[in-house]
Amino acid sequence: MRPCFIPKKRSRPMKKVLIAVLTAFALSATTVAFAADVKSNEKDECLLASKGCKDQVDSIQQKIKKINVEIKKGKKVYSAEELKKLQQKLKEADEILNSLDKPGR
Amino acid sequence: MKRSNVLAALAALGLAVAATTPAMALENEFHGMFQAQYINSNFNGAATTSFPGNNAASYGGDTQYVPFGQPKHVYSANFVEQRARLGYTAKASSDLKLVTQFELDYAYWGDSSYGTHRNHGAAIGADQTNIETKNIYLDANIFKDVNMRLGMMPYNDSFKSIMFDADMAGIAFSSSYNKFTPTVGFFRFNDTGNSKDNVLGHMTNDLFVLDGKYEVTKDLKVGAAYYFFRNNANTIDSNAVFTFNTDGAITTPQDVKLHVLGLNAEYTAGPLTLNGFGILQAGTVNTRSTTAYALNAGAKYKVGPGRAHAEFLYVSGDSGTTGHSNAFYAVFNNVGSAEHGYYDNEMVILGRDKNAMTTDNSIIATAGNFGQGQIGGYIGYELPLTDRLSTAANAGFAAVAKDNQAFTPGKNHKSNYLGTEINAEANYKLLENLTTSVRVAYVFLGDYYKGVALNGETPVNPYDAKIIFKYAF
Repeated sequence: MRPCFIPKKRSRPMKKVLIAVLTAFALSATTVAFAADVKSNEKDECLLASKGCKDQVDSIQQKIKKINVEIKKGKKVYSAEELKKLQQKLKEADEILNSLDKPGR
Repeated sequence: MKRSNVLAALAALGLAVAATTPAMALENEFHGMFQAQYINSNFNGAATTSFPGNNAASYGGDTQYVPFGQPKHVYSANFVEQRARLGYTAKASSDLKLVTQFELDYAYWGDSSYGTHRNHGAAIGADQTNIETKNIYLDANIFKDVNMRLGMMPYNDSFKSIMFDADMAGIAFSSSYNKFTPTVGFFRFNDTGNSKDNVLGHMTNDLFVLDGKYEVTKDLKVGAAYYFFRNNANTIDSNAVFTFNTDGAITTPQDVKLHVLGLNAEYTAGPLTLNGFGILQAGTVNTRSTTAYALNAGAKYKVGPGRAHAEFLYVSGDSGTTGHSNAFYAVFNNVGSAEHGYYDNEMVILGRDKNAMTTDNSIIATAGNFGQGQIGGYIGYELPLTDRLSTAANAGFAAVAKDNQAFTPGKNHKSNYLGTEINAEANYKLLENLTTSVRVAYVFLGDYYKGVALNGETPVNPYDAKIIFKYAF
């Protein structure tokens, strides 16, 4: 009788391992999605709405470059309202750089 | 799937969401810069740029070139100054953020240590209390298309910063309706009520701003602004030649009610960009009725592999000290230095230097130029040589608009011509975000300075050379 129970008892850890592996895969897939560069036909939600910015640390110069790349995608990817928002973000980033560089005492 | 496994999967999914949510809820931005520069000069950090007896001379000069009564030859200064700025922005969403910026300066290596002194702390041992708070303000899109900034923020005029460009406390609302961008704001520069009659808000130095920009076409932008300066605080007189005691600049009760109206425009046609402005000031400045004005024209033109640029600036001046005045008004702080600056002329000595930090001296340090006004023409060429190396060269020619015997009481200057500057720079990108530069400048002094040095001699021509390392992130 006892050997019959062994497979059943072992099946639960297997399922847990499977769930854990799938969860880890799901998490890693999410992380990859965050870290990957935004494709030419996709919106950059981090720049646009501060969403999905996990693990992203840009210098101010990189940020300006990225915004310019997104603006160049134009109306094929972004709505007029969203483009306006990106322009505003570019202005803000320029302001930060100017403020850091500002001469004087 | 069994219930327990479903719960396990949901818990795992919940964990994943919880781990992601904080990044969506609060975005932390951290930026900064570091700049260190070696200066060799008979101008910056030398006797001709420090007012005698002023404690601010410990800053490597006191903003203004004053060779009057000084020996003809001055020793050249050799020193290194450095600066770091750190900025943190807490962004709750794309519509709400807190912006902060802090600054740590060393006026020159070896200045002092273990004490409390802004812009100092580079003597052996360090440990100086010297951190400065530059900006703390809220930036919020409070309604659709309405942005509000509230607190201590950087703000400048729409006229190449010739009237104000500083960190200032106030509130500003701006918007954007299609091609029209209006701004309304209020700023408090000084409140000295506490030292006079213990009533805050009673004796203040304030600015009211109404500004509008309109994009007529993609190539043509026009703008108009109205500013109202109301100053009845104890501050320095913006048009007087500064007087100092051992505590620094002397402040006196002011009475300024000045309306300012300005127009600006920018037009682009292929490789050519033209811009310019006109400003009219009308009102009273310390009992003198005042009508002052400024005119500017600028051009940038892509020529060959580089870009040429030219600038012209006229600021009205006044030769008298009584009656109606044409002296131009601009904003100062209470330690005696300008809170405005004209940098488009790309000068190092003749005008304010874009690389200046604590040591920040010029022949024309202020727009009004102590009531004398200014007339200047400037040309330059920027030439990028490789992806990493860029160069530039400039020349400037400047005079005062009116001789009011500033710095030489009771005696006119030999001429209104201040001098001719030539300068050149090379910038090399050592690493991404780290640039090293060399910039040298030389001024052929005009006859304004003829015979003004000790014993009626003429001061030697000033020069300045810098080697700069700059990192920004």
